[in-house]
Amino acid sequence: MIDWMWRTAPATRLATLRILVGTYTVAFMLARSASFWQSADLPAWQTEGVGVLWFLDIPWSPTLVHLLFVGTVALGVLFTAGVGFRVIGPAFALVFLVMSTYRLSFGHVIHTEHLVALHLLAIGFSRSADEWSFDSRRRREVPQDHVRYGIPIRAMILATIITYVLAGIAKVRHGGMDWLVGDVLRNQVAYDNLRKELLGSPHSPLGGWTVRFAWLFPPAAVLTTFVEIGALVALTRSRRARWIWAISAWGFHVVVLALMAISFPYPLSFVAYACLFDVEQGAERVIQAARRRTGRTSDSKSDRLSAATSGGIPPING
Amino acid sequence: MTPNVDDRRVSRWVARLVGLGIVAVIGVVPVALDRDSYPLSTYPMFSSRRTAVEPVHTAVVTAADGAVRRLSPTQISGNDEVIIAAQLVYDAIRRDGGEVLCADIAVRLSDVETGSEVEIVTERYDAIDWYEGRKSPISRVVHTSCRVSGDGS
Repeated sequence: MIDWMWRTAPATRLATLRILVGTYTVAFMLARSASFWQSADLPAWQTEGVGVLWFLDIPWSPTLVHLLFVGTVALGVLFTAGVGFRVIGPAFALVFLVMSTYRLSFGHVIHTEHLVALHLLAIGFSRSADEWSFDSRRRREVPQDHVRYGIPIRAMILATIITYVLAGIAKVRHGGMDWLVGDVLRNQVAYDNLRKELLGSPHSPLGGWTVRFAWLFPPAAVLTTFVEIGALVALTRSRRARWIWAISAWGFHVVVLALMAISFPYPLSFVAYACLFDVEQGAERVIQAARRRTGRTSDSKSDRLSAATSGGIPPING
Repeated sequence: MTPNVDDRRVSRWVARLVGLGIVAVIGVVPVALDRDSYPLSTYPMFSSRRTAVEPVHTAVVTAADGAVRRLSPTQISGNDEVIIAAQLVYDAIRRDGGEVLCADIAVRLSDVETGSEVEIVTERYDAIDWYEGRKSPISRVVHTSCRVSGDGS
């Protein structure tokens, strides 16, 4: 267990995660562009820096915020394509962190970007563009499986597990047994939907209807806590256990969306869980299918050495 | 290429340190400080001991005929995040009774709501009762109000 972090992985797995998380982040920023853009117009008195911008007490100029937003998106595209990754990788991870921190520095922290920011740091500060990238086009040698590709993936898994476990612990810690067996969850669903109605925001009619059935909520609360703390199964070698947990966690977010109109887009997209699996295999299948369709033969570096291992160091289980 | 024994020993220690560092920074520090922040957090969402009767701080528009219309988060805060809008109203009430925010909203609405009144309010409902059809407020406090003028002032 102590050597859980020390596992080799193929460069293509980390590359796939770079492409998935990078694409997700760029899409997310474009989809939420209005919110990022409007963060330049929030009132100055509301400014309350958090995280890496803890010192912030006056807002930045709107021009700077808008430029930062456009720059972050542009860096995200380069990050995903793996261009100049030694610079662009860390730069995008850090600039996204700053941009998303700024958006949350006006009185209330929203919890939709925490995990993606942590994942980007793991990917951005690693050699995740050694394969399937602009940078790797002219490289002749094929990168072997190595711990340098395994450790960042393990870091992503660990970050994922910790976020869920902490969320589970917080519920028991703050809500106590009332959270598990009382009306706390039912009240949460009712209050959250009511607040949205009173603040003129889309809410969940299904959630409003469901709160009439009090008996539904204690089992749902226990299940929620079970899924969150159950994230620890992602540490196991069992692929089946990891699939069961990932689908359960995804299902939990679907239910939250349905009952509270609260979207956690990163887990809902399933990209948050990609680090738990051998995602490069799916990517390779897609590439091969595309090649067959276009009539090109399979001659990629990864095909020639897809099973390469560095010897002696155990591979990431999958 | 197989790493030599020394390299492997070093990388094994690096891996252990990275793992311990992640657990400490992401897992232990936020809990020890009991602080919700970004990107480190205790993830306290939905964990408070919520009761059925809680205050909702919001802003509404009252038309000349007395009809009350709800405002969207964008109209209230200039941002479409409902949580940011709710927090903004709460902070504004604590800060100056909501007067500055009321004036800001009135300016934002000057094109569409001329002659109406913006009200910064705290309403208290039984959220369960609301969804069972009983929608009367338990209490309603108007902190401040201001008129929407057509000249954008």
